[in-house]
Amino acid sequence: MAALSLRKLCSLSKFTAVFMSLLFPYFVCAQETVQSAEVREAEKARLLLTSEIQLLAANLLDELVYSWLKNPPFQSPSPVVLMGVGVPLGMGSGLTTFLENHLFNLLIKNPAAQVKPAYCPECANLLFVAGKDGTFLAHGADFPEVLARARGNSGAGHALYLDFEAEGSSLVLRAKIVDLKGEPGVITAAFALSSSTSAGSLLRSPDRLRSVEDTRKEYVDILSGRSRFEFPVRIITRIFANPTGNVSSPQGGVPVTMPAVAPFIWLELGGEATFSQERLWMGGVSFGYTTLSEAHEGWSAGARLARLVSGDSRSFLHPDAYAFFGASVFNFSGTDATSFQKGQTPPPSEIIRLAQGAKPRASYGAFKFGLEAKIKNRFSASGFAETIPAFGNNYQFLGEYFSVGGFRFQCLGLEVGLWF
Amino acid sequence: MFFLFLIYAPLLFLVSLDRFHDPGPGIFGSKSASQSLECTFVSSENINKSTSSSSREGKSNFIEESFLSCEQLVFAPHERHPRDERILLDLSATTARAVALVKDRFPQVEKWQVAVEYPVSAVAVKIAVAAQTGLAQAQVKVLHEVAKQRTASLFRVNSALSPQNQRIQALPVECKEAFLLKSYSPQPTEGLMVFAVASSLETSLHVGACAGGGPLQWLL
Repeated sequence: MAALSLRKLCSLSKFTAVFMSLLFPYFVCAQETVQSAEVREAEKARLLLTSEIQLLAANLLDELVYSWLKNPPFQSPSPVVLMGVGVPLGMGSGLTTFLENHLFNLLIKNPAAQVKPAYCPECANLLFVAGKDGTFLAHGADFPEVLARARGNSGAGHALYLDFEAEGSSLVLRAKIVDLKGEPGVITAAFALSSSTSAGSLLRSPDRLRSVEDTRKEYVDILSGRSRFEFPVRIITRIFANPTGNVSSPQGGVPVTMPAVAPFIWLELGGEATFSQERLWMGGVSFGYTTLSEAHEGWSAGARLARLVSGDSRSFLHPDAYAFFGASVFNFSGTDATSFQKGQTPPPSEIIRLAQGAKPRASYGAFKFGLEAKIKNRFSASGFAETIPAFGNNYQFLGEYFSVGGFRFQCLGLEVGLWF
Repeated sequence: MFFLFLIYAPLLFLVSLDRFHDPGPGIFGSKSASQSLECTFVSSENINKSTSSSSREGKSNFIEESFLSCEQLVFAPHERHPRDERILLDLSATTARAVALVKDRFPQVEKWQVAVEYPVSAVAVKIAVAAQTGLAQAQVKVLHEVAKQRTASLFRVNSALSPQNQRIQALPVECKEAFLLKSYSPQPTEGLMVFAVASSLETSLHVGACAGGGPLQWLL
């Protein structure tokens, strides 16, 4: 059972594995060999590549049919045999099937394109054809004899050939319409479309195709409408480590155990800004307030810098993860403040204030490191560890969860946020 | 207050780095990630006119007012054969140049056919389709059928020279021979466009053309 659980953990993403390794230094995926990891990574890359090419190719088909809606290749509805779809070198036949189905769907839903799809299974089959110039093995579509048979079977007057190829960062669609009746074998129309100049995913609705210009305008409007400033409201819970030992009063006597500090719950309002639409970096400030009956009441001010770690740009669709570093100052009063008074003799003004019945007061500065998940650009949840440098190794009023490079992390926290 | 200032100053500096993100390898980018980008310099004037919406990396220069616009390659380096990848990378540009050249050199030709001599048949089909599409888009009549392959190469290595000075030589070929159809006599208004690599190691396409009974002329 333990092995099964570990295997499940090991099958999680690289990001999770790194996070687990940070939390548990002895966390090792012993079952996974280097070879299986490479195979898994290759499969993941292949899946990603296929899905990206599918989207690009489908967009190009949308654009092709849209161009036919504006300038139909025929005067009247004409049956056309789809003679084959060539996919980029290195891709499989599954993509061909997807693209054929997508094109048929588009043509059926857009009869104004004047292209009626006709079915011709023998055109895609490999055939031996013997003739005066020898015997050849090729797809049926490449032989005039088969073209003639296709015309007889389907009544089609034209044949449509599609070919997709990846050229650098672009996917290029080339389409040619071949005459089967008047002058057999002559290309009557040809189209070349490139993803580098094509519309984005807003053309994807098959029954509401739109022009590149309209789509781009809407795309830019969406992007420009997305402000570079965001305003989060966060509820933060800070949980401090229990004191590590007993403390003697300044007058001597029996050592007493310091009580644990109750969790602090903060309401924090802030503003964050980014300088690019990719939102790789976010930086901002925040102001917080906390209160808990007699225990504590106070304010905080802080700044943080966050770096996107889950990709190259913020996603509209998927959750994003940011790693962040922040610094804050806190000032509060109440009984909990005694744990943050550094164990030093208070100044005379503070002694007078306390003698007059005022509550103890404390202030300190802290640095925090954490990870934040953002969902749909609206919600966030994060966890962090905080270090208070002023409370060093000899400070016994607060314990520590762990220490890194001489910094004691005395506080762990959780945040949930709503972004405006 | 001073404490907050100490935090804000480096924050502003680091956040400003986002404005000028460098697509080259560095702290936040690996070498393989940079190698899978295709980058071109674009002036600030042109980048506003560009219809491309998928630029994901950018680097600006205050003085020259230009941007390095980078896009992700569809296939990462080494996923396909390097020679095929190189040929396909320039396929649109090569065929566009070739079409312009043949229209200029052979204005009398009314009907074209395309032949491709390339070691990988799948790539040969891609080249033929690109050429046919380019010709048809240039309002030239072109046959869908790809001319049958010659059994003999259009090139030979001149072995008379020392290995260091060896040159690949194009063989003189008549248009009828290039068509390689025993039953076919090309008319003066019929042309053949040939795409070929001189050796299996070459990474650029040569383009030749001929019309009627004339010799094959190499244009690229």
